[in-house]
Amino acid sequence: MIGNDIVDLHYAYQQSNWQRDRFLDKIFTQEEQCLIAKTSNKFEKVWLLWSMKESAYKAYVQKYPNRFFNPKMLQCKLFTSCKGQVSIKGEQFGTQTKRNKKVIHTIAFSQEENRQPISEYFDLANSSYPLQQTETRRKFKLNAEKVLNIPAESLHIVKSKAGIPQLFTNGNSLNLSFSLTHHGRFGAYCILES
Amino acid sequence: MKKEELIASLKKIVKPYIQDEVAFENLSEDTDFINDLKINSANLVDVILDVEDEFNIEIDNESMEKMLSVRAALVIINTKLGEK
Repeated sequence: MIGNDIVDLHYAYQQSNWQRDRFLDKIFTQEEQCLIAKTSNKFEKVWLLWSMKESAYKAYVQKYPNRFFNPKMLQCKLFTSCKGQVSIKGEQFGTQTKRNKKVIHTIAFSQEENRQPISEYFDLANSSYPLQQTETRRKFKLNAEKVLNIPAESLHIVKSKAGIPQLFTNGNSLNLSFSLTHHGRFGAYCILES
Repeated sequence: MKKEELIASLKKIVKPYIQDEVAFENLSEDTDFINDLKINSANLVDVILDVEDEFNIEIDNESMEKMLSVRAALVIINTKLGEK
């Protein structure tokens, strides 16, 4: 099980007001709110923790395909500036984050996972939803082609009822654990090599 | 409050966050906030806060957990309004 989440920091700055009344309280536990309060760059910490929660949630729903929206129930711990852990209903997910001034990208994987994840993030030409989705899927398929040795043009992504993308070729489901994400002018994917 | 009025208020609330105009125009009880309207999950928090402000209710985490569709939102809003 693997999940990933990307945050375009410029876009987040424009689209979301984390300082809005009750916003932090709806998303973050007391412990997480302390972590945010302690740092000088609160904006960045908010989105780092958010991307940890979101990526772990994506890994979790692959295992238990029932959607829910309860960010506060996903509890984050940070071990270093880029390594952490998220607990969801007693299950632990390790997280690894790459970040710079423009973007935060986190991948999350179940604790028992020992396969090496492949991941990549990239710029998008604009932030329109259709372009984000098409381009992210295209880039993912190019890499999946190498992993699976199946041409990218014959790979199809279908979302399950629970909103989890699954990969098919000629109508047959392929057993590949992966996750797609896009936000603003960035897209990313991650794949677990079988 | 009548169902049509509730849907109309909800439609006004979600408008700034939607990323699919066609799904927004055809918004119905069956509409899913994330799968259909393509609302970012971070903005779903804003939708919930806006609903709380608009109806002067508090949506606890347990209720929020299910608030992924117009239908679920209507049930939650009605329940919370009934508790007042």
